[in-house]
Amino acid sequence: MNIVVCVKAVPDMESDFKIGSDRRNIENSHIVFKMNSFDEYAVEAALQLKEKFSGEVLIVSIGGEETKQVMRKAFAMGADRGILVNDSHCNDSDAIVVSKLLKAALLDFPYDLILTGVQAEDDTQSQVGPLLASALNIPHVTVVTHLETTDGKALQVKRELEGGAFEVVKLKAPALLTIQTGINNPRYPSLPGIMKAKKKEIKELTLSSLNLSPQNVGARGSLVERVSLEEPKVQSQAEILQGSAKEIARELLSKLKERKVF
Amino acid sequence: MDKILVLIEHRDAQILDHNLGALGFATQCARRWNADVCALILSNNPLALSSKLASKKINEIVHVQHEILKNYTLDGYTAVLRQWIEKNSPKMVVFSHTSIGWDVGPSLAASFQAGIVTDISALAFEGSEPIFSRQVYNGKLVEKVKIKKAPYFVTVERGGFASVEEGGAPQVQSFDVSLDNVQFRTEFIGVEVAQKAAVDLAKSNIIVAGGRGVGKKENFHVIEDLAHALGGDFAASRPVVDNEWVERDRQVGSSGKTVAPKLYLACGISGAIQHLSGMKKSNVIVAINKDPHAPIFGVAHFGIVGDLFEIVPALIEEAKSQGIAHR
Repeated sequence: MNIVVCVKAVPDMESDFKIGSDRRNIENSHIVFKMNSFDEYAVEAALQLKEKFSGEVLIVSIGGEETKQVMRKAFAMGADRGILVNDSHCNDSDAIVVSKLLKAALLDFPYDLILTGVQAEDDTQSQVGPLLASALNIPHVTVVTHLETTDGKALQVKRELEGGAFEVVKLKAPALLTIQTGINNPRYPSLPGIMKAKKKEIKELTLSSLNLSPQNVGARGSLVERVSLEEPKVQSQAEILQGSAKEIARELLSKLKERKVF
Repeated sequence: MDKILVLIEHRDAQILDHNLGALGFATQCARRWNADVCALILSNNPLALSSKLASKKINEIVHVQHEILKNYTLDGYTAVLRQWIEKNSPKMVVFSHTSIGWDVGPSLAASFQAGIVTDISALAFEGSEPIFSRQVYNGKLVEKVKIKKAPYFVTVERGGFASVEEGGAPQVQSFDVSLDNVQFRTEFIGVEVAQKAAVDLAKSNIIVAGGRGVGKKENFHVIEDLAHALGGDFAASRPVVDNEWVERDRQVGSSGKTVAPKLYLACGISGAIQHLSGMKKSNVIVAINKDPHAPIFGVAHFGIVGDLFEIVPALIEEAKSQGIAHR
C-alpha cells in the first residue's frame, strides 16, 4: 500500500507573533517552525497502514529549508522519502494553486491513499485536502477520526460532525482522507530513526521541472489574496487581577460573589 | 438580479441553527449588491424542513428533493449544487464552516475556476468588493482577504454572524435535478451519536476547564480539585482529550459540548476559535493563562496572567476555607 502524506511546516503556535513591515506577513526571524500537529497524526496513520500492508510512505510538501526539517521528522518517524516543491515563485499561492502544485509533484507516484491533516494550524483553511482530491479525481473524506481496512482497498472511516456525533462512510482506494487529531498517538522519532532519516532522499522540484509557469502560481496565479494582517480588535473588558496568588484568589472569589455566581 | 446561494444543512430532520448565521451573512452581501438570497435545501423531504425559514428575510427557498439526498454525500451534493450554479450563475455561494461546508465547498469552487475563502468571521466592503476577515495563528492575528473576481465561494464561521432577520416571505420553489449519471464514490452508512456522558455539562452551573497548559495527565487533578472546591464540574479543551488526559465526553468546543454556565473558569486554555465557540456565551468567564496575548482573554470577564499551578491551589484553599462548595 503506497501512501502519500502531505505535510506543512508551520510556526510554533505558542510564538509571539508580530506583523511584518509589509503588514501582510508575520516577522519570521524569531519563529521556530514545526510540523503541523494535524499532519503528525496523518503520518502516524500512514505508518500504521504501512506496517500492516507494507509499501511506501511518501512525504510531499511545498516550502524551503524549514520544510526539509519537518520532512526529516516524518522520516525519523518512519516515512520513506520525500518530494519537496522548492521554488520561491510559489510563495503566496492560494489553496487551489497549492493543490495544483501537489498534484503535479505526485505525477509519477502510484498511490493508494493520500492523507493530510484536517487543517494547518497557522491559517486553518481546511481546503488543500479536498482540493487535491478533486484535482486528482479521487473521492475524499474530511475530519477522519477512525480508519479501518482489512485489505488496504475497501475503507470504512468515521468522520467527525458538529456537536460530538460521527458519520460512518465507506469508500474505496485510491482516496484522500483528512486526518483529525486524536485518531492515534503519533510516535516519537527513535534515535535509530533519526540516524536513518539523514540518509533518506528529498527530491526537490522547481516550477520548470513540473512544467508549470510562474504566472500560474504564487500571488499572480491565485484568486485569493491577503490584503492585510492585523491585530485582533480586543473587545476584551477583562479585568486583570494582580497580586500574590493568595490575594488574587480572595479577590476573584469576592468578585464572583458580587456577580452572584455563588 | 444577482443571486446568492446559501446551502442549508440539516440533521435528524431538523435545520441546523448555524444556517441562520450563514443567511445573515448572505443578507449583508445582498443588501450591498441588491441581490437575492436563495436558500437551497437538499433533502428527501425538503418541505418538512423549510417551515423554519418561512418567515426569514430572504428571497427564495429552493427545494431539491431526491431520496438519495436524505443524507449528505460528497458526490450527491456536488452534483446538485453544480447543476443549480450552472443554471443560475450566482454571484456568491455561501456555506457554513462545517463538516459539510468544508467538505464540498473547496472542490466545487475549483470546478468553477472560482476562489474560495473559508471560516470567515467578519465582513466589510470596498465599494462592492467584499473583504473577508478570518482568524489566523491560533486567533492571535486576523487576516483580511479578498477574492479577485466573482463568483465568490465562502464558508462562514459558525456563530460568527447575527441570524437572518424575521419578517420576510420567501418564495418557495422546486429545482429538479438529474442524479442518474452521478457516480457515488462514498457510501453513507450512518451517524453515531457520542456516548452518553457521565456528566451533562450543559446543565452545569460552574465549569472549571483545563487545557494544554496543564502540561500532563498527572497534573489534571488540580482542575478536578478546583471544580470540586467550587461545587462544579470539570471539563477540558480538545488537546487534553486528544492526549487522553480526560474522557472525550468532557470536551468543550465546536467538536464537543456547547455550554453556557454561570461560571466558566478556563485554566491553561489559550482560546482557539473552536473552543471559544463552545463557551463564549457563559455568564461569567475567568481565564488563567501565562500568555497575556492568549485569545481567551478576549472573551474573559476576569483575567489572571500567571502560572496556573500557583493560582489554582490558592483558589482551592480559599474556596475550601470559605466553604464555597456548600453554599
